[in-house]
Amino acid sequence: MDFNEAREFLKKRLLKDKTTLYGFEEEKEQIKNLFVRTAKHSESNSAILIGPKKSGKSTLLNSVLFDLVQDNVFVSNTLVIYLNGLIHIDDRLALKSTTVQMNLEKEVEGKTFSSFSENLSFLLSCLKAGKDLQRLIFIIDEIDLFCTHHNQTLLYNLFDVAQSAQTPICVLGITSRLDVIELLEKRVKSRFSHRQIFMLPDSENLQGFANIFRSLLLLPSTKESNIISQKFVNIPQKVYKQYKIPFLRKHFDPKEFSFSKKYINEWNKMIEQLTSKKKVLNVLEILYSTNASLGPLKRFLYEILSTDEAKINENDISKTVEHLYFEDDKVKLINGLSVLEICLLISIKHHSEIYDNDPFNFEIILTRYNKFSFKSSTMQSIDREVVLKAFENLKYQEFIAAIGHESKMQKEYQMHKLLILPDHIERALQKYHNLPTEIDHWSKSCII
Amino acid sequence: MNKIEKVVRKLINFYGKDEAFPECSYLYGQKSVGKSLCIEKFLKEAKDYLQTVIIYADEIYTKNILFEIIINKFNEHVLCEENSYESYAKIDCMEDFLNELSALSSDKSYLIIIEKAEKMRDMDLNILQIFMKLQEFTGLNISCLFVSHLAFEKFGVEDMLKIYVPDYNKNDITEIFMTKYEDIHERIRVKIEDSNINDNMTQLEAFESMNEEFFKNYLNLFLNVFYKACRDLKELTFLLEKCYSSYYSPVLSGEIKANDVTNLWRHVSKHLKTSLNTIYMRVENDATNEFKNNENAEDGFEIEKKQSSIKSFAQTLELPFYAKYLLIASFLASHNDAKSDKKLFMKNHGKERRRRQQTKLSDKMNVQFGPKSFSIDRLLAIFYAILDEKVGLTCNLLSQISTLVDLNFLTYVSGENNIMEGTARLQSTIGLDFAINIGKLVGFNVKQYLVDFH
Ligand SMILES: Nc1ncnc2c1ncn2[C@@H]1O[C@H](COP(=O)(O)OP(=O)(O)OP(=O)(O)O)[C@@H](O)[C@H]1O
Ligand SMILES: [Mg+2]
Repeated sequence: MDFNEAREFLKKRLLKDKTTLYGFEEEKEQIKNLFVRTAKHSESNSAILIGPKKSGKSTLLNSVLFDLVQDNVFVSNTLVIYLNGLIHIDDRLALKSTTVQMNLEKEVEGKTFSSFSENLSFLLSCLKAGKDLQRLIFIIDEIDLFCTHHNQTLLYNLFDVAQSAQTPICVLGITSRLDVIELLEKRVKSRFSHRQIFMLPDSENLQGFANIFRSLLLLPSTKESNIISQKFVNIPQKVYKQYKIPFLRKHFDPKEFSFSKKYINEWNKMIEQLTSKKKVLNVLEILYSTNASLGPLKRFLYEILSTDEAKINENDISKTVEHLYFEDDKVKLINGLSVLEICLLISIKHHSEIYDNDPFNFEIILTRYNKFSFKSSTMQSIDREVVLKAFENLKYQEFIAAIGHESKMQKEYQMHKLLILPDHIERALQKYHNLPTEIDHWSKSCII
Repeated sequence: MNKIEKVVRKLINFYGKDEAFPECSYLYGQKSVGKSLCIEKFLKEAKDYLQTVIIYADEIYTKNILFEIIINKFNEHVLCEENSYESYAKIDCMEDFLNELSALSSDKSYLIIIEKAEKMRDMDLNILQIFMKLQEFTGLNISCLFVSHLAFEKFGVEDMLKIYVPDYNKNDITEIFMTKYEDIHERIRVKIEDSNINDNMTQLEAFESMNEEFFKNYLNLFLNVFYKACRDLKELTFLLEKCYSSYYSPVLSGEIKANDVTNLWRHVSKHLKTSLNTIYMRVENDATNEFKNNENAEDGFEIEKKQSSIKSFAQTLELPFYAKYLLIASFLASHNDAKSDKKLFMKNHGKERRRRQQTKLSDKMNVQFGPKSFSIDRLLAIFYAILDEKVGLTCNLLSQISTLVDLNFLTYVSGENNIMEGTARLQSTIGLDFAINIGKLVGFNVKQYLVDFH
């Protein structure tokens, strides 16, 4: 049977399904509640969602919004505004974007405001004057970056509005910085509700992790596909116009694919067998202990699904994990160096061992290298200029780096430090293709 | 499947037709290992379903240019006279850029390839991070492929999918070069036929005896010498062709038979060794003069650099006698401690005789730490001491100093405008080998006057 289509489906789901959240039911409920209280009861709120990178913060938010936009009432009285510290690198840009998202560009045209807060109040008053959309949800992704903005003006004003409850507004910050509260200035902090919601991946539930791993590989039954598709059908059309939320744009629709029942059964049987294999469980244990977040897990799955092999098998899975977790980029790249460059690295390693990681320059390393090369049968007759080029290549590869200012000094004298560990060099030497034995010996006997 | 094809396969696995692209990925490997070649081959296969743009991050000097190149390309907007070389849209900030991207058709798939991606680290911090998440911000099937020679951790960002382009070992390189055999020989044949030498025919006959085996032998000798110092395929290719003619020219002239490997080796080995020291220099030294017409235009820069260093040595030859001494004196002043001057330069300075020991190379020497600055007074003192001649030419010498500065053998560290008051400080820029050579020209042993060698 040709499983290519199943693979294609699964890869697509891994990447494009941005609304299915695994776990974190409680956290999701909390956030949903906040939004609902603003939307339904015109309450004001502020909160910060904190979780490690790729732990599913955006996914959680998406899944909350996905649920809420099913409801016509929510859509017609609440506006969701999305700001991101990576995009809106200062408060002016953020305010401009807010104006656009509130659809108030015309209203502010030609107006000048003496301050940020005046501008914001104007926007809010326009809102009040309108009929619908009286409630605002501000999502501030990468909120820690807003803390670096001048006077934290935007944060101050938004939290202030939320606290004074003049306008129904909910401000939800998102960040991966656990210490985000400490980044807030005092007057900003005092206006923040201090509601922090943590999304910490459960580190004691390997079984749960393995279950998710399996679910991500299983094909849904036709019935399940229908349910998901239906949720998108239910969304009121105006959502697409009103909200600038990308996940709504090209959502994942399982109905794009149609698999026969037999196909689904066969694939799923294969997956059930695969995921109960000891080897696979070992792999999962490694993945889980390195990072319990689902982001890395999904990336791993994407990688094993991206092959030409007809089936996924446990050997490929363990091989992939080996590539990812036990091979070091630097070791690989060292292996691509010439023997001459390797000799310089060995000289540097020796120097570092003898002089307790003192910095070095080309001349020092050259002297050490020459001690070896004069006696060597393989490395004779290489000019200083060529050795210097090799030294510079090490720098280009960022195995070493200059310290201090580089300008005035001639490059031969510029002091450098080693950026890799002696261990990297040793590991690379073990694998180096056809390393002359004398060099191997020399690399090991440094203390003279 | 060879290594390159494997990488291309991997790229197709990630960026296949109708597939969901990863948010971003990282393609890395040593320089000259064929990263761009892989991309080129991959794009050939993917051109029907993929919208691509290739960015060379080292050429991007403002972020607006980066944004506009991408938006122009994806909108198939080519700058020309009709549009007065205006971009598709004016993009001032990241949000404009993302809006323009979002406006693209969501039925197509897009790939942004960033060569020299390590340069993105010099741009605003947020650019790299946003380029890693373009799907999240645009909802498109879009991805970014970062290409670099560095280990991924040098970027200090969240992990991503990685594709490693393996380096070539000796066998790979032999294989690659063997595929060049026919081309190279064809070129040689044409060259012989075009030449006006009257023994054209005998040469062609000899040429016929240079078969694939002959080339392979040469290749072996060549790699035995060069491979240890250089694995850069571009560089090796250049040198391979350059040195080949000294291997085959005795065959053409009838001096050595094509199958006489031993003699061929003897003949070429010295030449190979000399050429070894021109790696990355791309210059004709004496032994390689015969290759003049082989010059490669794009390497003009390297040639220029080397020529300038040859030129500078030639310039020293033309320097007046005293200037040469001055040059040496400046080197000594930069590389000795002032407090050892007395010991080194005083003629009758008592009991401690100059020890003519064997030169002992210690690990940390003065010359290794680079030149130190010195005053003009000290320079002149050393000059008079080593010249061993009483001459009163201070005024003339000062103009010699400025000549040396103009020629870049000396630089001012400070007080450039205060030469007469004596507060100016200078520094020598020449290296030990260079100084020794100048010393030889005037019969002066430089090492004898360096603390390091005492
Ligand atoms: N709990 C989860 N349920 C479903 N998918 C998840 C979960 N956690 C992470 N993922 C997946 O991992 C990837 C990253 O998730 P997401 O973007 O939501 O994380 P994030 O915390 O917002 O990341 P960032 O720190 O980059 O903002 C996505 O592909 C997402 O589908
Ligand atoms: Mg996120």
